[in-house]
Amino acid sequence: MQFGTNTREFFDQTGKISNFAGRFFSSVAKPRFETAEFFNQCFLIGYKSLALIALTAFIMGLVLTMQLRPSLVEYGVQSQLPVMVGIAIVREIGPVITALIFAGKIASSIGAELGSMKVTEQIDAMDVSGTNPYKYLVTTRVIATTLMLPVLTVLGDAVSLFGAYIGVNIRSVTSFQLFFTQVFQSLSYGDLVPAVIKTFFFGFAVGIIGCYKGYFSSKGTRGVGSSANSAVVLSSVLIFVIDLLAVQITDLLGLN
Amino acid sequence: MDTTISAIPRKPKDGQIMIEVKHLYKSFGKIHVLQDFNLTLHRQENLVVLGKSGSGKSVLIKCIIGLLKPDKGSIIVLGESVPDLNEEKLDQVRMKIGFLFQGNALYDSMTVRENLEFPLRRHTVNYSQDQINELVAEALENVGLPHTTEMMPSELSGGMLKRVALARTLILKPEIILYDEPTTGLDPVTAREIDKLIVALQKKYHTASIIITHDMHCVKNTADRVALLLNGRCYTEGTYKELENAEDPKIKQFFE
Repeated sequence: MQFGTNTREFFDQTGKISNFAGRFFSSVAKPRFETAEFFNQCFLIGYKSLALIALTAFIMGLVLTMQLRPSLVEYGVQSQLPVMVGIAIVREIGPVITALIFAGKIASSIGAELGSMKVTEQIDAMDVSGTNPYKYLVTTRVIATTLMLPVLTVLGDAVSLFGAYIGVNIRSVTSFQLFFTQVFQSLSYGDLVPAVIKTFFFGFAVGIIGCYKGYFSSKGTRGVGSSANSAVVLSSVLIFVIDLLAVQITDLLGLN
Repeated sequence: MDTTISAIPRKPKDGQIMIEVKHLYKSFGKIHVLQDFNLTLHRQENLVVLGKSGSGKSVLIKCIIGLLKPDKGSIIVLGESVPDLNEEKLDQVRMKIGFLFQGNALYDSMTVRENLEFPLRRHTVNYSQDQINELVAEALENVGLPHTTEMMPSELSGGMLKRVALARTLILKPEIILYDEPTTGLDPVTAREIDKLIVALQKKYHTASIIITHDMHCVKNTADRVALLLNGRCYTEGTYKELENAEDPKIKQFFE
């Protein structure tokens, strides 16, 4: 009985989210475009996340290198450390970890902001004044998350590789030039392009889920908290699902 | 502007029907909020809908503005059937209706000026910046707060918030204004100032209004006609004096 209810709820939610996402495409095609709000959101979502993404990316690169070294030393291939770290960061760890950090910061903030607006009837106020709250609140945020996450990922990858370079030099001495020459020689477009493309989908998922959860927040402070929380959980799960699909597709296309 | 309250109850005005609600039903699960509710609002009339808390007054005006969909019945606003309108046409009708929310619903991330400019910048008419400045100044002048343009909602008192919300309601020069509990949560002095403002603005702009309240002072000060909402139905209607002199205990309880 419980299983049946949960299954029905799952499909009900999936349908509602798909409908909400579908509305995005029809809304984005119609004039007018909220340019000022879009740039404001790019600033808040992109620029304001930069420090957090850079810090976590740096630590991730450093720690990954330090953790990998003993295993490589055991097999006598520690000279391949820059290659392994470079591929791991660019292809998988960089995009996914950046997207997860991004989801934690942005999906929760969008969910809480829109949830609070819903509870205080600010969204209804936009509605009754004949303006389109979806266009102003959702479309701008979703485009901003979709465009900003790939930018943050590329910057995060760069910082992460710098962290890896520091990590390599803790136990041995490798020149900056040699490290990055090894990294870039091991990478191809087949590593970089699919990894960047999937971050557009990660960003879209974070934006849509954050907005959906906030837009349909239930009344009260608990409703707002719950919106923020479930926005992070659901967008994080979706990131892994999209990543899984992306790996399958790149595999089918022979890019792995 | 004349802000004195007429001591003599104003007579209901005949003339063009602005809103006509017929046989309206609205339920939330097993709770039947509105059952066969009927109401008519004429041009330049202040109609107060009086009822206990939780009697469905707010549900009624949310159905009228199209925020809630009725289960059954017809709602004709300015000649248009609201429940049957598509999003675009509904927005056009909504531009002719002002809605004052109980909690004001000012956009808390925007200044007072931005709050007032928000519907203007998204209006079908393309206003120039000079026109927008003029309209904002006029709206704030009307509510006696010309000096608050650059203030944030968080910097304003309860009474000032209500006035700014009223100014935003007026900015599109609506033909109809719906007031949801305009004096709730205000001290008696400020509440009476809001009453005066409602009457004065109606006189100045010749609007028709539905005022939802359980504040008997507000009813006395603002009503041309009073409709009593009891058990989901329009129990009776008449002038304030007529209802005040009624012998029916269900009516009398509101005047004791």
